[in-house]
Amino acid sequence: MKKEEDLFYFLQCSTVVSPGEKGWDMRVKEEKYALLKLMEYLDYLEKGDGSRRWFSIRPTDESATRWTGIISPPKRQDYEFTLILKNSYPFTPPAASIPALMKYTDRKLEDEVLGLRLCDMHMESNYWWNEHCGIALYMKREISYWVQAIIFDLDKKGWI
Amino acid sequence: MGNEMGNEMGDELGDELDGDTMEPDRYHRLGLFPHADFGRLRSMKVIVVGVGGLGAVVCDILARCGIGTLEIFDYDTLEQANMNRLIYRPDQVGMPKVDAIAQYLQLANPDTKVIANSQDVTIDKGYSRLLYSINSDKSGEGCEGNEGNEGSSEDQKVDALFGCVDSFGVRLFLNAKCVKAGVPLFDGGTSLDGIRGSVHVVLPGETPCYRCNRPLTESHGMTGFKPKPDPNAPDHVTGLCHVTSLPTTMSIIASLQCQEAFKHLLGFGSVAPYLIYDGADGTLQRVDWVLDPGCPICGDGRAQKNEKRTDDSDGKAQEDEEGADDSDGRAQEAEERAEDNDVGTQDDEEGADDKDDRTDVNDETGKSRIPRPSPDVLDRAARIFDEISSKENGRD
Ligand SMILES: [Zn+2]
Repeated sequence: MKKEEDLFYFLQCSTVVSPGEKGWDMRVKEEKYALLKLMEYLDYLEKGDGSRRWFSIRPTDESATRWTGIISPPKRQDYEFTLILKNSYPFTPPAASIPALMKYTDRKLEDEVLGLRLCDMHMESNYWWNEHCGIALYMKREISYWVQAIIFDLDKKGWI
Repeated sequence: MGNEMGNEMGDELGDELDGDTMEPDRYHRLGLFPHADFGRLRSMKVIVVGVGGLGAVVCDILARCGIGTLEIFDYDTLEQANMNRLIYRPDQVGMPKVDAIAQYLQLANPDTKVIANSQDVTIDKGYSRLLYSINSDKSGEGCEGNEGNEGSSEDQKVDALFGCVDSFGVRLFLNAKCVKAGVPLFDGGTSLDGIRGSVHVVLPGETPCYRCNRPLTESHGMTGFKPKPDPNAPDHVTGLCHVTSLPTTMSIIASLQCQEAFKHLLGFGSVAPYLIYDGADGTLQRVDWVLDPGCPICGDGRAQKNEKRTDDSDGKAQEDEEGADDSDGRAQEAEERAEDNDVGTQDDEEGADDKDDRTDVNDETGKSRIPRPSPDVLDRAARIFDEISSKENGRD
């Protein structure tokens, strides 16, 4: 039986190399390639031209271990988010945070979709993760979930 | 017949040897264990990653059994909320966990040398230190940036690593590094509802690794536990982990980790590759995994490791500073890449019908690997991506 990650194999990366190691630049290229594929996929779903895409993202340092971007929940304000690819990446997923929501992400939230609560200031409890998953898949499976569900949940609770 | 095996919790220092006025030492009872010589632990070195509910108990057991050197990693500080765990004392709140446990271990058994690293193993110094420690060949991976090793226990080969972490990703990371370095991994974990747990033993080259078994782990219900929602949680409660933790389950799992490790280290019994403890049902189940030949960490990776060994004899210069880690799984591809920096050339020739820009490779197990686009396509994509993101950046 095909699993979801098989279906979205086009968002995965073949090269398994950690930041700072030989071949990391290749992994970065694959990350960018996968992100482009994700954008294409979203544009196809939305029948759009990319102008209404719910996220933007770019690396902020030379080594592409720090990334930042904007998420745009529908009918809500935009939020900046950051990703840090640690030395243990891609064995560990990116450490993600939405600085403006940091004090809320520490709170107890019911997470019906994953069956897990979000713990600490990042979103690391990803049982689906493996070393071929990259930023694109993380955007699709984790960050988009924040955009779709968590921000509305926080809003409903009157926290933001 | 002064010493019945059943009398396990007797006071070590209270007994007297038959016909001897000398006080028996702290290892006296261990010395009577008929299946193995615990004295051998004195010359061994192990690493414990994470000294929370599991790790603290693991350290306690190891020290009391007389382990020679114990290197510990944890970047957390002790909080009041940790007081339901064993070992730690309320007056230690505010201390780094590694310092608190080191303080305790010094009293529990001053024979054990403790190397405390209050660092995160997944990043920066903690990462380099961990790689330095698990690689017995000190010219290898991650050896830079390490100061003050006097050729003593700092440099000693590691006999085992205990994974006592609460993050799935970190387990995958420890697994990958241990398999690559050939260090036995004894990983413990408890379920989010606090009543179940498992111990996973990875003997590189002998037993399946943590990654091999991931699909099975999922079907065994190790995911998807719903923690009980707490509607009455006060709003000011922040910074707490929301996952429960029972000292009973924690100490059972920690003990099982140590038990399996002792069996391996001292050579008795039969090491259980995977143990599932269900405290709700009161069951302990041993699972003998099947090695996944297509496993990206230990399957193809193992073949690659052997290749690497021959490489190493040629010269260690191949490894770069942080260590060239291509525990990629796509062994040959990685080797090719290292050789001529011209990525995936062979792939391109093999399957150049890139309809979706990718070359799909199937290995002998019939499993589909993640295909890699050709270098041209990747370069083009990276250029387009950079253009888009710089445009979007300007838009903000
Ligand atoms: Zn494996």
